[in-house]
Amino acid sequence: MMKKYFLVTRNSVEETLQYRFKQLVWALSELVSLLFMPFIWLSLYTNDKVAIGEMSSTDIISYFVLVSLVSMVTTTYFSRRIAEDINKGSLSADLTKPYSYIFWRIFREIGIRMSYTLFAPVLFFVGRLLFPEYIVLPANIAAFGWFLFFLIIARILCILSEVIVGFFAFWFEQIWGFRSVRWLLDSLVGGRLIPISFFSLTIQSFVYALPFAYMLGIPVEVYLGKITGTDLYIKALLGLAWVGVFSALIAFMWYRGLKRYNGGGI
Amino acid sequence: MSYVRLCRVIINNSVARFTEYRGNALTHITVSFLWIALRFIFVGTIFSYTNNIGGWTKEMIWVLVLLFPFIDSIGQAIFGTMAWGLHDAIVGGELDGTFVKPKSSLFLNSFIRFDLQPFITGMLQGVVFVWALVHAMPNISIIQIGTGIVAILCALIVHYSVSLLIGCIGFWFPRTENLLEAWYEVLGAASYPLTVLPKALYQIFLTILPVALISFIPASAFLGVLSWKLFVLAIGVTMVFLLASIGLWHVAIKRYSSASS
Repeated sequence: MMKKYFLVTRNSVEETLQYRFKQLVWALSELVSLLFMPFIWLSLYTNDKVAIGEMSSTDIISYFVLVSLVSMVTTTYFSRRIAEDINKGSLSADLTKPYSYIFWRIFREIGIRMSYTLFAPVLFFVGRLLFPEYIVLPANIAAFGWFLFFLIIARILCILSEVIVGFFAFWFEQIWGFRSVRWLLDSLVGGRLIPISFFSLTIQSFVYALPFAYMLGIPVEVYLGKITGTDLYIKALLGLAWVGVFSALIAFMWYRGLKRYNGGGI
Repeated sequence: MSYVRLCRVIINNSVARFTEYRGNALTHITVSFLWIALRFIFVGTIFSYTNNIGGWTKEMIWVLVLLFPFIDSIGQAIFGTMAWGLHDAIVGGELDGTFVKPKSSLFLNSFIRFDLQPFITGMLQGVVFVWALVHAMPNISIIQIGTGIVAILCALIVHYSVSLLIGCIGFWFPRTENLLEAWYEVLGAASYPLTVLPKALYQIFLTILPVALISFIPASAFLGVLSWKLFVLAIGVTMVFLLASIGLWHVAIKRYSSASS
């Protein structure tokens, strides 16, 4: 049953490989923009040598380097494509085909992002060779295992959140605002701009309950050993719960959205 | 039709478009201010641990953070359509019409579609920027205002020139449509004080990849922390980018062969 979707992934990988330069530009630009953050945060440590938010100056560089790499693996942008399918009516053709549109889009996106997924570990090992003091290895195998678990959760949540944003096109012609708000929350409470541990404890407990931290910040903190013990199990359950909530929301939006869909643009 | 009359028609058309899509415009304006709020939270969080970043105080950083969206919005209003559409127009062979009209093809492709929505957003952002500037610099001098305005003009010209240069690459390499988005990714650095960067990277952002000119230099000028040497360098870099982009356009259009070129 899944064979046809794996074929979709394979086809999109082959398609993506036709545009290697484009992929390289994406990867490098994402990296450059995110690598700027350590310099901002490091400027705090030149004024005050104590750890901030339980992070030393080495931790903060490692954190933002890892944020860049994890972001390359997890970040997706395909809500716009879903909205186009709905607005232009090309979804109609997909509805007549013997596959699930949602799965088709998701597996296609996995293929499109495959090159980034493979590029990230290469960059990691190059960085590790050049700057071993900043590109640290996980504390042990178990920590690496947990990191992989949270990385998969992050990947799934990022994909599902893009589907949710894209499905708003059933009700709104423009989804730009939704996409932007999603990015804003991702930047603010996802750990992209500010490590979550830099917030006060009250705000932290609120932020950790939201799905955005599971898309980027938490996998990195797990890798760096900032989340351990029982906390890991609690966050794992919360992450899985968010996958469940997002999946249910997608099913609901798809069901209600199709009732509104009129094939406009045909 | 004179260029002045043409500009009037362009502005009238933009007003008509704006009134037709008011809801969309309101969303854009709201979200742009949410992004500014995000920057404020970011700056506030950093300054809960320190009292300056790279020699910049919180009030100075506010000026910098508010100046970037203002410049970007004005740029989007004036040449955003060219920036985001030129590559597709080249690859799709849609430039033909602009070459047969009795006006400069560069002017037509660059400024034919003035967008009122980002302009209004920019004006509102400008008001907030002026408020932050007065707060940071209660005794601002005429020279600071003058150099700041010149630096903003340089920022707009550099932003336009880089967008045009990137668009022109499409004449040779049709699969480079995401270069502009990459430029915008890098432009994210424009909201931060670049003095925190290592010297080599700082020099690159001043010259080869002129991110510093987009808001760091204008903000420094308004705040009175810009040296004359840097001010002259900024004007020089601006002229180089403008001439290079216009030159590349004239070379590039000779390659244009309509559809699928």
